[in-house]
Amino acid sequence: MKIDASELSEIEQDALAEIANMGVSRAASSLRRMVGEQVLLSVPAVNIVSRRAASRMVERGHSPKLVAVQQSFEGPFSGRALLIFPEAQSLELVRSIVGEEHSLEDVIDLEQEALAETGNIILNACLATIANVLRRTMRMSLPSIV
Amino acid sequence: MQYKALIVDDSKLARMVMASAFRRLGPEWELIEATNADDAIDVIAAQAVDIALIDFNMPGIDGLELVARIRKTHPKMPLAVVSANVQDEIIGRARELNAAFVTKPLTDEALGAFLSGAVLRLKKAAQ
Repeated sequence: MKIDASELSEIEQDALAEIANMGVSRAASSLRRMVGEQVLLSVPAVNIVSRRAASRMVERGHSPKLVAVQQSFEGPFSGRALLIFPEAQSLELVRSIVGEEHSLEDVIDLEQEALAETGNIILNACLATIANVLRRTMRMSLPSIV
Repeated sequence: MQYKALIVDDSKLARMVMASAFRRLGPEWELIEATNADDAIDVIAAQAVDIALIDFNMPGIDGLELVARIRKTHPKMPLAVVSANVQDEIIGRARELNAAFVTKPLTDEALGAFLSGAVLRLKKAAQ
């Protein structure tokens, strides 16, 4: 199925951006609490694109190696949410969350599952906020690394 | 008086974060960890646990279902559902089961508030 962005009116695109912004802002505040440092967000933009164009957008400006945490949701609307970041930074991210009290070895052992849990917190913050704004309930799957 | 807390979460990271917060807030607490609901039910059947902190999104039985099962045998045990899934319905269901809702990422303030309330209830029950 091909969807053209022009099928959505300006107000519909604006509403999508605003709802996404609420979800992402809440996710950013969760991330901020976990890492203990300020998280900067860009202005939200809505793009309705093909899968291929989406993967090009994600690749642009990043190292080719990416790691993603995926969570599916079902309910009044369903889909998959992905949290994607450069693989090279994943260990650093986990380290900043568990703190200095744990050794590097501990962190390496823990990396996969810690990423899943971190993704779970960030994606849930985003999706649950959107569900609350829309006054709908969604079921969330367990997080997985892809 | 030393109290015993059961931490139920499938994520090791989440259990570590919870244990670190306990070390800061109440090092006198004895902690027991379970990685799923079935283990948690076994622990509670086998020993005297005072409170439980339970993740919502776990493989198998979810946290709210586990709270409902614990309530059948322990109507007054202080329980908290710990989750980043802050949907109104999830928080509402926790409240209906007389359980607190503690948001992930966990903060010392939120855990501290739950623990002080829990200790008050435990002391009252012991009188």
